[in-house]
Amino acid sequence: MSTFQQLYCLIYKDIKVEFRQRVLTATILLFVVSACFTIYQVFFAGRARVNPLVWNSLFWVVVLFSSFQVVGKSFNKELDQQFWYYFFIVPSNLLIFSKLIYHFLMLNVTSWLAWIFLSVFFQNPVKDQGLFAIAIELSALGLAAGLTLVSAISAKAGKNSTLLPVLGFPLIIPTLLFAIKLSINALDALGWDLAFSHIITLLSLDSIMIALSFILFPYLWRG
Amino acid sequence: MPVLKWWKWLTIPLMFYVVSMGIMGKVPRLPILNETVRNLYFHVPMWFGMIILFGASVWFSIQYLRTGNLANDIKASAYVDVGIVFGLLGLVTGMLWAKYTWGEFWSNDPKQNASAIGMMIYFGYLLLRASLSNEREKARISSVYSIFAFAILIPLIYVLPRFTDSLHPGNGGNPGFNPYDQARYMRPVFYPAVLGWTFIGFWIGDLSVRYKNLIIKRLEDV
Repeated sequence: MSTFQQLYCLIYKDIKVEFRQRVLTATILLFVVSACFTIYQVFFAGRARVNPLVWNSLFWVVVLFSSFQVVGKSFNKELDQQFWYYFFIVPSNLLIFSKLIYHFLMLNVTSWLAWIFLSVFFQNPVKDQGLFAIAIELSALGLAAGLTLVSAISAKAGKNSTLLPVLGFPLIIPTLLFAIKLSINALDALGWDLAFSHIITLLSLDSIMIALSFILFPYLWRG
Repeated sequence: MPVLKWWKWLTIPLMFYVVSMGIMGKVPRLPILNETVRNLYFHVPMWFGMIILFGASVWFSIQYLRTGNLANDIKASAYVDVGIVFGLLGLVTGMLWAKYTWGEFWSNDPKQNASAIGMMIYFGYLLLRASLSNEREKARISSVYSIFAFAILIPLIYVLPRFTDSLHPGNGGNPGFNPYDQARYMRPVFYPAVLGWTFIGFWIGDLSVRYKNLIIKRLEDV
């Protein structure tokens, strides 16, 4: 099989497993929905008004926390003998690449779900939806790139489930901060000229993380 | 009879010079800053030292992944330990300085935040090492994490603050730390201070490496 076919098979397998055990996907989706609804109730009960900047911050908080739900369990499933089988039939950096794409797709689902539900409960204040969509995509790519390797590390380190957030939070902050700067740009519709440098920076940060995951993962799984 | 390496001999006069000149040397009289400008000799070298130590640690992590020699891993972890001490000292000296010049210990300055995040990243490194017991596995997994973390730390410290106005001297239009603004007679103290503190860091790291090697040797003898 060619590399692309192998990659396709690995991602297809992940998605297929996800649909077989619908519980996992449903849990993540329900997590996002109930988080949005809880935030709505908290603000309603607290009689607090949600201005555009608060809406934006809430959105990123929901995205951040749901991203840990997405990546949290994915390597634990692979820790058994099955993984040894993959190890011998495909190059190991193809494995992380497939996981990364899979996480990127899942993060897209959670991010857009959060976007929909926060827009339903509160008024959507974004003026430049195109720029905001770019911010979401680039942050999903960054979160997937940053957290895939970290979740592999924490899966290797054992059963300690709080290790992933502890290692992941500080590593993800730069990506998140640039995504937030970009989304504030979209919120006020400041235009693409100002946003361009943020887009380039975010893209290069994403590529650094993807490249490093690609290089480092084989060392991680070798033992 | 162990002989000190040349750079360790160099460190001793350097530090005597830096500490005495740092406390008694001539500094410009500026409003608000006053005598706190002396912090330049103690606070700023901490960050230089920290980054160089973390860089050295990443170098040894890469060497470990390439060769599988545990001696490299011992060096990598020792330099991270010292780098964290330097980072904490840098945070504390910076916070004390900020109290007298900016008015608050913590003023949400992007560089302050970035260095706090950097500390969190390396505390994560310590935690990761503590949660693994197998020596080989500990070395391999923490090397991978350390390389990945350092690659994120660099944009965090050097790129992110440039997109935001910082209270730090030399950013956001306030004068100060910048080779052109800096008073000419401070430079002969500042550069030796950077060199001296960095050497001190490597000296401590070196001692820690030798101590860990002794423990391993002793375990092997038993």
